[in-house]
Amino acid sequence: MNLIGKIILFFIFAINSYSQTVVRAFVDKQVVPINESFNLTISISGDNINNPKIDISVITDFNIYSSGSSSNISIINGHISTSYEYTYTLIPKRTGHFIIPKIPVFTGREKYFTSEIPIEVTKPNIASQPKPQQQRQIKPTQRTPRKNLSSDEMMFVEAKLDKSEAYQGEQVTLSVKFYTAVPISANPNYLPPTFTNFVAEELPPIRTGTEIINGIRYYYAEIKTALFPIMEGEASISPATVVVYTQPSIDDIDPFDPNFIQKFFSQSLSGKEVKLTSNPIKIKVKPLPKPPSNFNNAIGNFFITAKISDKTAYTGSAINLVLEITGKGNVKSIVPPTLNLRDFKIYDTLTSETISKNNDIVGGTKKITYIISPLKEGDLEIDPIPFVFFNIDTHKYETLYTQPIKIKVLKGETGKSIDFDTSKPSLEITKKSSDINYIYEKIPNSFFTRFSIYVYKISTYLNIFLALILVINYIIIKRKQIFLTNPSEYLFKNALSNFKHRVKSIKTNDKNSLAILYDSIYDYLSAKTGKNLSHLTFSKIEEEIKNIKPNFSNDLIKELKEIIEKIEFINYTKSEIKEDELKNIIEKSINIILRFEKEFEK
Amino acid sequence: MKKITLLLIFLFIAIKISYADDFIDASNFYKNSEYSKALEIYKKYENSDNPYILYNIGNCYYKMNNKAEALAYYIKTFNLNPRVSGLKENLIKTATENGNELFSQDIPQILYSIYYSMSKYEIITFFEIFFIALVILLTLKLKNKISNVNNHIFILIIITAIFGTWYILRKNSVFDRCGVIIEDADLYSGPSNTFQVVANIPKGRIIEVLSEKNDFIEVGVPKENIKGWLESKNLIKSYMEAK
Repeated sequence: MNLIGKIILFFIFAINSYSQTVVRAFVDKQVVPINESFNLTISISGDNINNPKIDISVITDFNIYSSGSSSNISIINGHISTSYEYTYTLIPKRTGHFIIPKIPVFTGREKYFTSEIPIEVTKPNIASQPKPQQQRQIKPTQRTPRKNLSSDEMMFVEAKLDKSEAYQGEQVTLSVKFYTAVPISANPNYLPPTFTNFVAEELPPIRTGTEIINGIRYYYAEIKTALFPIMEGEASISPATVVVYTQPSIDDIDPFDPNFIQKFFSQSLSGKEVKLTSNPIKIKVKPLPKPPSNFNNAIGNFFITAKISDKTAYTGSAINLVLEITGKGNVKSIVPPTLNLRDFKIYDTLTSETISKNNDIVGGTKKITYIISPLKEGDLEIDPIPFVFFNIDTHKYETLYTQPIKIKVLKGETGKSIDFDTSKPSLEITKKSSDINYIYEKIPNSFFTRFSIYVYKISTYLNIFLALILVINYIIIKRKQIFLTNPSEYLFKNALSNFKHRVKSIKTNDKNSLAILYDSIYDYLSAKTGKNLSHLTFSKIEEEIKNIKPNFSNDLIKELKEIIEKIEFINYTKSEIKEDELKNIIEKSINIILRFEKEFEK
Repeated sequence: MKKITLLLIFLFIAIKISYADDFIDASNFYKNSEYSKALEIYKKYENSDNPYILYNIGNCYYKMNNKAEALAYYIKTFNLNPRVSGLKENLIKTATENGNELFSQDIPQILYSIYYSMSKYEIITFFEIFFIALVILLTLKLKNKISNVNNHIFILIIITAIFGTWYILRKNSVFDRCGVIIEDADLYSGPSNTFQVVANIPKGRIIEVLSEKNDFIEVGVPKENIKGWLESKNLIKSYMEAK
């Protein structure tokens, strides 16, 4: 691109940027009777405007009260434009020609000024004079203001709250009433109180009327302010001040004259200045109960709706999902619900508000626009979106859900993307440096580590020991298996060891020792022959032995027979046997059985 | 007997309190950036096999800009208890700053997490516990003291085999028998400085300890795939030696 092209582009951009923000101020009437009010509206529209700041304090000839605001965001082809509207109620202080000066508006980037507006304040319009709104006390004998009234009785200011305690975020209404029983020369100048631990929202218009207090009839003007406590504890309101100019001669104008207002407001400011202050007020602010995790910081009573800009969309295209939260409460403080959409990418969240003050209750609508884009094609559904608020009427947290929204998504062009320049400050965390993690100030016990190191140290020996046990177990299992598969062979092989094992256990001083020896010999022979021989005669036993081993030594059989007969004889006669003799029999038996074993092995 | 028991309990508590006091002093020194004083205290308890003390020693060395020593102590801690919170980050950071790459990005990190979820001491402990349980169960079954435990035995065999295999694999880890070079060191072809210098290993490098002879250690450098001998004074071993 050449230089001329760049210059042309720069100018196009500059002109475009300039035309993007429009700031305007207008009034609903330019000729106003002094006993009436009029509305001043300041509208700001354009791109990239974020919470514009208006310096309304430049207007000095009128009492100013905020009567509402609204904001609106429109997105057309990915282009976002915002408009804000702030409405103020202006009440003339005196008659004459005035100019609403240029009001500075700061849009976040640049400072703009509204144009000047001429206003003519005329004498009061009798027809529109407000009628008395209420009478607090009517007494049969009503006094009219006279010279004998004390200055406190003639005029005073009273401030009152409608509640003595409130929850955080709950609306409390402050009423500041200026009473006068004497004529004043101009509209009083109201200096509002300062609020500690409150967010304030003015509640215009000024209400006027008459009231009878202690038999005295007063003309009053009431200003209401909605207050929202911020933190638990105590919140306070400093005294409100009303500056009035009394008539030089109060006898000349009776406030209860039918033409009082006309006479009253048409006077010049030549009267005496009187400053009146209200009483300071304190209020207890109660904390909210422990909120649920997804609490949207909404305190009041609300309902929620959801809608989308298009029922049919393409993958990758942008759709507006709009949530509208409407109800009473401080809608400005509502935090947009966090969306958890499976099939959509969320690009950005834009919010706008419309504040209403119907019947002195602050409320309105918070409009939250999510710019979303379908990630896949098909019939998709946006699940119900939860909205959690603290219901100030029931004093409980409540959760509302939007209706599920169906959307048909068609396959879109790939690689197409839309950028939204919302000019929000970057909230990304910037890593500046890295460092190691901190030390352990308290050293945790490391019993298991020490134990595991100990186990590691002895693990070799432990494993050898355990392996040995396993080997022994294996051997035992094997032997058991052999026994189970061929028990006679097992008994045959182990006959001698079983015999020795039993004979070893014989005690020479035991009466049953011979019987044990006798049974051991028979068990040995049974194991060798594979038959139970305990009930057979010895000749039968000899026969069985010969069946297995035909060449078995006859002398050895004879020796065994002799020893068996000897044992049987001793048992039969129940004769006493000496320990030496018993030992001799046992040794002889062992000797014979050992020789038997050799014979069987041949 | 009762008196002795009471005395022992008293002594135990007294020792515990004195430890705690020392650690409070050490952490205060650390907070005030007096790292050498903190290190002096932690070093007194270096041989207590407490991974958290070793971790703190590593931190002190790091703050004193002795990053090679810090790395050696982080590896020691990792070998005792790899789950010490904050250790892995410190270990990776210090290793990287010393020119080492510990965990390859080509391998899924979940595998590293599983592989290093326990120290080899803990793995062998679990192995022994399950092995003992298996042997007891087998013996009882053999003696017909219990029945219907075949499934239990099978499960125990599987678990014991898993821990056994894991232990063998863990033994081959880069951290098992490793050390960190704390001074730029010459690598000799034999266990004496009369041998030819085959390489120079920079400070902070992790090497594998193969064997020892007098004041020389035979090492392998996995990254360059070379091995040789270096003076033991140039190295801090990051594993427990005597078994």
